Amino acid sequence: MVIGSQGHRKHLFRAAGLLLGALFIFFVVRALLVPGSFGQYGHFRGDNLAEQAAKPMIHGSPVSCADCHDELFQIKMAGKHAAVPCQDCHAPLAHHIKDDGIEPMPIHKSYTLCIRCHLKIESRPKNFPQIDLHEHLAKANLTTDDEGVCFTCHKPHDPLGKK
Amino acid sequence: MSQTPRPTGKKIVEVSRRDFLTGAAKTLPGVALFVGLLRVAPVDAAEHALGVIAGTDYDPTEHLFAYVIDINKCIGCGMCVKACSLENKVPDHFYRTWIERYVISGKGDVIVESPDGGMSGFKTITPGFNVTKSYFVPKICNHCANTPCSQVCPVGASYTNKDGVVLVDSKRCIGCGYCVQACPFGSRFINPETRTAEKCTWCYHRITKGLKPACVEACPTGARTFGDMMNERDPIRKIVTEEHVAVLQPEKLTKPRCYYLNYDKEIR
Repeated sequence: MVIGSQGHRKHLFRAAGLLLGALFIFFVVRALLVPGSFGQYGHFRGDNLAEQAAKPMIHGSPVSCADCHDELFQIKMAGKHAAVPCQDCHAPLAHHIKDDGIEPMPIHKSYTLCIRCHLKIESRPKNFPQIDLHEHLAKANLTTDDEGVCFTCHKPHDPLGKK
Repeated sequence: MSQTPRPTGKKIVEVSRRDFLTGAAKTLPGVALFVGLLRVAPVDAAEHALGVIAGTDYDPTEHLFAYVIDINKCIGCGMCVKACSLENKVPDHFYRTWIERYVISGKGDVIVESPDGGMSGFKTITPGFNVTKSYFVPKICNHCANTPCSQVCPVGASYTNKDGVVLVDSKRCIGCGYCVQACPFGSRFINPETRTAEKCTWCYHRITKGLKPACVEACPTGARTFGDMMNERDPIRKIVTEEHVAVLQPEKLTKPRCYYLNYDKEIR
């Protein structure tokens, strides 16, 4: 063996040099391709969490409406619709409160909104209040020709309260 | 360099102090850059550097979320689907959450339908057989602990966070659609506008501020419950640990963090 000899040692140095060069390039490319925040919270780009968290909220909290409409909110909370969130029948808070002022809140005064929950469908839980629409309206001599037919007898915020 | 052949054995290299110092001065910047890059490359950064997310006072390591759906309480009004769509600006005819109606006969006929994802509610149907049972099943991303979807992502855009939420980094996603194929629950889709994979985030922008996801807030009957398993006083802990809960497709071993109460054998 003549590993120690001058001529052959050159090959070893050359190979080691190549290896070091390749490693160096690997780390440069890796540093350029892997985002800075990668691995901050796990095996992903950590900054994405802040981006996800910064998306704008459209719906308010369940009690946001009470800040301005406390009277109506209290009526709703005392009635059968206590569990129904305001923003289901109205629109999300962000459609009402805008950066440049307050837009009128849409009010869906239509029986189609009411029957989303209360039309008799056998897939619904049996203990949930449901109506056969035409039979129910016929009792009071009403028809669906009038979009807001339900509001003839019911107050949406307190549906079983006296009209 | 001397070309004189040497006998094998110990070699003593003679370097003058001046040569040694100049050599060291020449190599030092290279070594420094190399070490510097090593430090930039996050080798085991996940073990430290954790903390609150920038712009919030929310620390993902302090939470572990879970979601419970009570099938007996769902009335199929579709308010959750509508709220999700508005909250997350979900493109038309795509759904991050949706409601399925199961109609079943005693003979084993099963009809499953979800018109417009249940967004506009449901109408009465005449299935053509004697219905013995029927119910609504809200569906959502199960935020599995053992995710099939993140595993197949070729660019590391899909990931599971420490708080249990499975998210998609839309800046890294190349829209290949592998994850859409991999999800056994059909919870993902490619957004036709951004051409990236999209899914339920449990409204990450809301939960990081202490609010509930939009679908949970929108449910008028309390069929959907969301909470933090690491918070001892959260009601969800009691439900998941004490009630009889089921998960979708348990045979897939994906360990969903979304649980069902009053589950039925026909549910897929």
